[in-house]
Amino acid sequence: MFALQSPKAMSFRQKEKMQYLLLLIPGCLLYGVFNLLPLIGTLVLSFYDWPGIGPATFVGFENFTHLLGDEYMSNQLWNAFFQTVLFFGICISLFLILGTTFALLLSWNTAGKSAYKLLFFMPYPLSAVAVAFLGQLIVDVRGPLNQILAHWDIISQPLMFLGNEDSALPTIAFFQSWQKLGFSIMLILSAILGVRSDLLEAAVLDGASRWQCIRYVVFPVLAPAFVLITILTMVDVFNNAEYVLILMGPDAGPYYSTDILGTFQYRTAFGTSGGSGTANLGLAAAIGMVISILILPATIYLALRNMRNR
Amino acid sequence: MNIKNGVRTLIAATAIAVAFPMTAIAEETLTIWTWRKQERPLWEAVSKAMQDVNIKVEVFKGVDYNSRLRLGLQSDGGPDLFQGRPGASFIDQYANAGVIEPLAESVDISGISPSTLGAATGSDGKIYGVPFAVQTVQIIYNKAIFERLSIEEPKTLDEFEAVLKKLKANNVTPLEVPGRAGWALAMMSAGLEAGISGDDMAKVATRDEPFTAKGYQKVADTFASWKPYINTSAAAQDYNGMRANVALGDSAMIIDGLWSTSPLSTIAQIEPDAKLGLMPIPGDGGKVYAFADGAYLVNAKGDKRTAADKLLAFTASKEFAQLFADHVGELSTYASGITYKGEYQAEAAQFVANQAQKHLTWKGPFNVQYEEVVGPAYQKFLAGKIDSKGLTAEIEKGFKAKKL
Repeated sequence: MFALQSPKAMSFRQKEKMQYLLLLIPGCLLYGVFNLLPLIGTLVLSFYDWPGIGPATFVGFENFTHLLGDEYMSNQLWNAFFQTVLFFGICISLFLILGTTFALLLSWNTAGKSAYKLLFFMPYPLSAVAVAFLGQLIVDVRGPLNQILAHWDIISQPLMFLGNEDSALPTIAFFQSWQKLGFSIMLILSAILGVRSDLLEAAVLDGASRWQCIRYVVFPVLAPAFVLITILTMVDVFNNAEYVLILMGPDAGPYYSTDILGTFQYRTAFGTSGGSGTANLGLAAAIGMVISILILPATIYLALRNMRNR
Repeated sequence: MNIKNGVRTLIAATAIAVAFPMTAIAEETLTIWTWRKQERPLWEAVSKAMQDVNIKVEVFKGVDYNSRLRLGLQSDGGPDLFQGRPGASFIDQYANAGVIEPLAESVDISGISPSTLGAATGSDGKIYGVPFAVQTVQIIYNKAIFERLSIEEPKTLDEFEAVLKKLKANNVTPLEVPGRAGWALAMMSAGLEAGISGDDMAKVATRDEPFTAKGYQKVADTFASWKPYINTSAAAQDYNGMRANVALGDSAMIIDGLWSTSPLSTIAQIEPDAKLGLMPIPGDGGKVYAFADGAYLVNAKGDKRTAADKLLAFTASKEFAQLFADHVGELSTYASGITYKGEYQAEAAQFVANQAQKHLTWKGPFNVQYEEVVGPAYQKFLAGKIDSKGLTAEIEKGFKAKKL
């Protein structure tokens, strides 16, 4: 029979290992319950045909072949994937460029620095519904933005920001970026403030200009913050679709031009905005698995890069 | 001795309480789930009419409703009765799960209009519930604009096109279309089918003919010819924005359901004094698209089944139909003998009686797929990416992909 050794009999190394194990348990439990088990559940569900109620029918790989082999479905999948990449591209560009710019400005002794910090961070805790509604009012065909542009004779016809298939997705990406920019600014600012002042002083003494100090001393220290922002944004954009769902509904119009992977999956799982939709949770689970595989290489690369930076 | 008497009284009172449980003298409270907030006054009236039943109404947003229902019916917190979406595509899912059962003999549906029973019928041909609310899709127009420009209701397509031209010449948007709402575009398409093609849709609606056939192609071609007269920002317009514009008098006409004439709709809320007119979509079809909005269903796994069945039986009665007409302001599914007080109800009731479209697509047997296919195809058309031939080809392609 296995008998537990009393703590007194344990060596220092054993105690250390035991402590590590005990410290790992809460994290593993949380990760297992909220991430690993749902992932396994999704994998299992992807082999079934299930409308969300009643018995599920095992269909093997049929959901995957339907998703990837049927032209109607695969067109929607790839359209949603490339549009998600575009959405991610817009958000991450704004986060990194504007985030770094504002963080650098805030790192200097600007007058009213604290007030600016507060202003930049204020949209972050707001609900996406409120931000989406405000954004929609601003860019509406009769909204203030069109009124101003018309008043300045920049446009003769109002612009259909959310009605034009070329501008709808970038407009929504801009709304999301505006709300979440404050978080990037704060992350980059804290990284900038972490730059050792003696390094900067040494650079200045060696005759480096302000730009050279930023380029050669500050930026290399910011890399982990950039990687972290990229990972968080990627996870957010590839898994969520709150803004598109709020503004355009699961239809993701006009003509799927705002369809991203989240809306495609939601529409497949719960149907369209008319509320009469067919639920196909098995196919939606298959989409979830395909999304995971599609973003896996980028996630692994970024995770490894982040570990190397440590 | 007084203490002994007191104890005896207490024992006697307890015995009476045990012998006559509270449920026997109290009202039974039943919970009904719906996505239609306009039915709250109706269920208050029903609670008063049925003295032994108290009804608790829980309203959910239409887009979340199906998901809530699936969860609710598989857990303990589900409803005793609920409203289901119309058509076999919905009924089958719940019947297969065993949460709804074919109607009990105690529910007499002989008074319900036979044309609405499809809303409660599964693909096995059995009827599972009591259909409610006949909705009509027609042109709703701003009467003040028509009166100001001395425009009469057009009866033919030629007259309708003349009206479109006159409105445009007077700087009024003739027809407002909500390009962002795929489901509303599907509704519009169904309305056009009835007005423009009518019985020519018979084989298309059963999928014996493709959507590229004459019956639907005529619909697409006619709508394409109206393109110069629809709102320039149609692609950007949402459903409530469309209704707001006709309420404000910026646009003259919309193709919409009868529910938009309700005092609770956006139109009345924006402009309570707005006077609206209803007219069938003019065309060779000569029909008006009419359908039942869904069916009242009993949760077969609920623990108040007897009371729920009793309430369901009441929803099939003439008394309930009159309460529905009076309190909801929509058309009841009861076949005859109902008095409609509202001006719009009475007019729409005439449409249903005289020219209801028989061949349903949207809200018909393949309701769900229709919305998913037709809405995006019209969005593509409004964006100028396809013409009317491309529109019908796109719809047909979508149906084939859905294995229909």
